[in-house]
Amino acid sequence: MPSRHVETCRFEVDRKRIDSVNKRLRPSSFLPRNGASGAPETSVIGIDSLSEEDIWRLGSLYVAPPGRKLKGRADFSAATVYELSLDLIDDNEIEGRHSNIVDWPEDRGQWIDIAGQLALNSRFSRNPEV
Amino acid sequence: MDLNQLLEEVKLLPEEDLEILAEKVSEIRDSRQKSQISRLRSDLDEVAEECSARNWDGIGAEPVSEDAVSYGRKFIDLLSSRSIDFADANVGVSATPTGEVFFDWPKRNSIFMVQIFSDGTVVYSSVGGSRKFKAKLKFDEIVSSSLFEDLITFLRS
Repeated sequence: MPSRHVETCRFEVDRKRIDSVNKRLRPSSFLPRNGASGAPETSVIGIDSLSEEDIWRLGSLYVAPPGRKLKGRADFSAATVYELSLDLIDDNEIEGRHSNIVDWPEDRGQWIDIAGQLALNSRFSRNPEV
Repeated sequence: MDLNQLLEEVKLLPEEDLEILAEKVSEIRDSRQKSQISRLRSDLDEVAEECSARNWDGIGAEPVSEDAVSYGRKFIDLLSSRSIDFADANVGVSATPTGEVFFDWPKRNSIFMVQIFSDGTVVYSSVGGSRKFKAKLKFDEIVSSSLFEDLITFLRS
């Protein structure tokens, strides 16, 4: 089933994964972790119809580790994910807005190309509170 | 004075002054290069410390591998020993959620990336730009590979 989200975002807490010159997240920010099933997945939040304030509220509440502030986020469309031959799987976490980017290729050598494309095709916003 | 005016004035300089100017420019570049290398080393030390515990990103990341960090330090040593002009590049080093070390040289519409795994596997690739670079190799093959040549070509393009 396709994701119900059209626009998604990836939050970042690490300053080193922000390219402040070109104003975007660095590719390493989009690389997947090993999910609960062992399959690689990148966690994102659906942001359709949310205000800027609500997007940052969700990130601060559910994504930022205790004691750390979000530094920025990258917004990109679900279509970008599908164009890279990946999929978005929704779950009911984070007020029903959480999804994982899945179907990463078995060849890990291809992951950096995908992460690089996501970095180039997203729009960066700095957290106004930092 | 804008850059074009400056270049016009430089053209009028006598040859001996041009040589002095070239030396000064080279000194400034070397100094900035050393500063970039020093910053990379310091950033990698911070990555090793800040990403050493599980879940360092708050969403389930694995600790950065000590072996990957060690290879990362050797990679910076190799960079510093080559005459690669990336003084103006906004090079970054970070950890990945699966424990590798990641370097990237971003430009406006393209990025050159190097990922170093704990077993010494190195993957490098570029996205965007008119020319594609990509290879997978073992760490001890870096010097004989085209990685640095490809990085130089990318940075000059």
